[in-house]
Amino acid sequence: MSETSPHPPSLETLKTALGERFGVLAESNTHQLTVIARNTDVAVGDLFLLPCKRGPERFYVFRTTQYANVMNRTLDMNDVARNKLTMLGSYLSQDLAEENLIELKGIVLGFAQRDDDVWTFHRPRRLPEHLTEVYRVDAGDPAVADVVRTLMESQLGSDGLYIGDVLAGETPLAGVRVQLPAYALSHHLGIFGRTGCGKSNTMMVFLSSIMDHNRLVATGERQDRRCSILAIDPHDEFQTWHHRIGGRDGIRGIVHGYTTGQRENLVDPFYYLTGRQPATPGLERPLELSWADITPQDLASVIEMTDQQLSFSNRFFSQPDASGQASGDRWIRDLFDLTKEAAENDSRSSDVHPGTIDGVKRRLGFLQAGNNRIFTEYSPHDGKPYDSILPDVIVAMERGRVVIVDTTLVSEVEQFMFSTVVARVLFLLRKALRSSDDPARLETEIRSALGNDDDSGNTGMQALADELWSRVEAGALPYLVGDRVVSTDDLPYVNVVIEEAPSVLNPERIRFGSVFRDISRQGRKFGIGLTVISQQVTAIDQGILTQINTELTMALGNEEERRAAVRNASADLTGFERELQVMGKGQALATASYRDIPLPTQAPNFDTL
Amino acid sequence: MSTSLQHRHEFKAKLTKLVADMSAWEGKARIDEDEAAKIASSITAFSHTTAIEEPFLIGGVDGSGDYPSLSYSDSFVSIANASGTVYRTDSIHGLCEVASVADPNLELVWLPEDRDAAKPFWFEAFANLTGISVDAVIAQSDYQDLKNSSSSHSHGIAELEENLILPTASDTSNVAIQLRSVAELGAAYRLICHSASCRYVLMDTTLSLPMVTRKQLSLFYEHLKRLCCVEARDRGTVFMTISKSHGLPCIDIIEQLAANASGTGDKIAEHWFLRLPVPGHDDWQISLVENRTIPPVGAVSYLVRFHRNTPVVRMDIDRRYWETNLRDDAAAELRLFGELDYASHDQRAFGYPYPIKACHDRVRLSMNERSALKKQIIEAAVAQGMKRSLFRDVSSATGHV
Repeated sequence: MSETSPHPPSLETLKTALGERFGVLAESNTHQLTVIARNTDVAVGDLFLLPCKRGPERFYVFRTTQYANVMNRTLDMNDVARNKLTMLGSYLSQDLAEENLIELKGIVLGFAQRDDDVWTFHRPRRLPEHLTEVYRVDAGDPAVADVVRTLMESQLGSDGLYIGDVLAGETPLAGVRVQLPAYALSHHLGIFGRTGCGKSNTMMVFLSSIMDHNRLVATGERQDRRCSILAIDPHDEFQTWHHRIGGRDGIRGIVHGYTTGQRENLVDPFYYLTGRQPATPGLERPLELSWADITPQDLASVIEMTDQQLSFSNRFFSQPDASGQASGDRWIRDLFDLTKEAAENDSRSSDVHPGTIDGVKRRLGFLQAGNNRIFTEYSPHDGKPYDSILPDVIVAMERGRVVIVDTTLVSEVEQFMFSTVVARVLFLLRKALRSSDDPARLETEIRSALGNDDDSGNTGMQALADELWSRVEAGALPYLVGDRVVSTDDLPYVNVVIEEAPSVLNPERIRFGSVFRDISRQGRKFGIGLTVISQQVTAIDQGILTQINTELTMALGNEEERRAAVRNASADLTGFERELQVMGKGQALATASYRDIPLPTQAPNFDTL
Repeated sequence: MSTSLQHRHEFKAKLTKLVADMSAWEGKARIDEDEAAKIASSITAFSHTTAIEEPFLIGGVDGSGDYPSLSYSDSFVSIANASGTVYRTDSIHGLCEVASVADPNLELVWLPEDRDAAKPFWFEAFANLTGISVDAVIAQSDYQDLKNSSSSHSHGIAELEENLILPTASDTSNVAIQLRSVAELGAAYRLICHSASCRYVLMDTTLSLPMVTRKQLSLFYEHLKRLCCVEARDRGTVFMTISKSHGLPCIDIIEQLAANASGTGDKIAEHWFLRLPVPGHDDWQISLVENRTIPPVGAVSYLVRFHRNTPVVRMDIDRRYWETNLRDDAAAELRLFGELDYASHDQRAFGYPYPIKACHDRVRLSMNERSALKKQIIEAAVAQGMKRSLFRDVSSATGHV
């Protein structure tokens, strides 16, 4: 029952599995179909199949967007209603003939056509013939689910990342699995939905699918690249899920189910970073970044800065001082130490208004001890060496890992700074790899990408560069295989999740540039994608929205958001506006530029998955 | 039509005369005080009936068709159909439909223009629509008796059968009246004879017998109409006709008298009936009837208002039934109208007996259905070797759709 099956079932065979006829097509045009059906308990979003033999054998897939109670021979329902309300003793006689009917309006999602002995799915460029019979997709009937899977196989995806089952009305079709291709992680995803719509459960299902994918790739059961995802977890749910209240364990449970070899192959060096001290450090580590990991551009990406402040910060980071040495990754320590008098004598700050310098210092204030949990001071001259998890995070991401970052105890700025730094470094490293075919030049390219060039006096991110190169040489960072530089096409698909995306992806914030804007535009070339999670669509920069090509749109809070979601979806969502309003928990419309149609999906409950 | 017609002087002059004539007619005093008092005293109120004491079955009949559907050379094909529905009273649903006559009374009637050639087809159609032969209808009906007394001429069955008025095929309006009437009355007859045993069988027409006073000549549906009365009487069924076109002028006078009698003031009175005086029984005449034969021969007529939103209707009932069951039993008369009122409370047709409305909706042929039937007829005929080119859709060919 698939496209590749040598003997796909005929239209008649599939029709037999659909059971009783539900209704008849009344009116149809390329915009909307109208079906008249028996008086039945129905729901917006119900799926229907319309077998048709105009042309080759086809099944049209019809999805309802509106229902109306109609009466078979009564022209004006308003009169009837008025009579019922106002006429004492009025009744509605029970007729033998079916007087009470329902009228369904909806859209054709597309049609499956059987030619050359395969069922292939097509965009809705054709219409079913007059008075075509209509069959309801009964979500409780496995045979019907089988038919839907056969007809829509090319749209459902296979050997990918499972996100849920196709939704027929209010019920998922068991076994009709919707999967995203693994490469979708190297593109950009949007997950939009209001509070309480089931985003966390959807993410859990998605993360476990990624782990499944990596496991299958590792054993050779699936021919694909591994996937990495840096999953920000603002509520510390993903690690243990509902284990604490007696439910299923989260990613920890999956990891604990692995063999030692699988843990080394699929999890090591860690899967969980947290702002607190883990009880059993090992695969769970404290979240630590160094001041040396931060560049002025990172700061501008997460905190509002003026042109003057950013200009001064860049100058302080990269230009040499009187000694001929740039601060580079020591710039934060040097800036905190910069007195008013020293500033007047320093060529990098002598022409800068003192207020600008103070403004930058204030913006960096969150890094000082007592104000943060994750940033360590970097001041090698004072015996405070580089102490950061960043190099290991990079290693993890480049080896195909799911890394959960618990940010419950860290501030929003710290959380965004962490995401920004990881994304920026990965992006720079992938670009450096693409620039170098020669192993001998790889170190130079990596250091150059990080602004570290001793010959020209640029310190840049020297500490990080040293750490990363040591990991390349040790083989932990898999950029060299023998005497060959690994292509970015051989590295995992990498994805960085941005939670509460409007805070960092709003147009104001990225006005002076943002690593996320760069990644949204160019990341795909290097196998790096973003997952933008937000309750709002409207608050996100339009330039970034247009780069998102896979959307899971869940229930949204208001009309404006729904309109924005429809406008920005990668597949035509016309006719689904009402659906976005009534979708239940865990339900989403999956749209993607590589799929022909929107797919309504229901993420399974992770507890029972 | 020219769009400027209404601006022409000639039109305006004719309009002025029309309005003057109508106004003069409107202002003509129809009844005097004595008659008004008589009418007022004869108006009887009945209760708005939302529950019934004794369950019963009530049937409704209506018909439709396409007259003619097609012409073929100098002959015509008509489609006649009618049906009946039966409902039982129900405390939950008001009325619940029960299975009765299975299929609509459907007949495809082909009539050649030649009168003699057409006669067998007329008779065949009548027999098919009625379920019994033409001579049996004439023999079993009491129309013959009514006609004999009304026309002062004694008629035999053969004479009546021989002199049935059968219009030529091209006289399409009269053909339509005959076929449709026979189809509907045939459906009513089947319903009356059906084992369902309705207390009431209603249909949308009158019990008028237009040719009853004429010697020899008669219409088949007159015989059939009276046969329905005979059969209903024998089975204890009340066969009544309801006509929304009561045919009386100045009905507003009666309405005002009803309002006065009901004490509703300027508001329309509802739930009342007025039995029109029966010649030979009542000692007064209602002048509004003027030269009309109301009540018809063999019948008793009522004017009834069920609800203020629906018009006054005329209901005819078999006189012999009335004499036996209603004439001297005011309570039975009130119960009858109360039960009809109960059957008129469906939300889709409030104020009108729902079984007729339901039957009308079922049996009505839509334009699409008519077109489909035409095509089927033509295709079947062509398959038999007939010429497709000689078939004409009469209405669309002339543009009179």
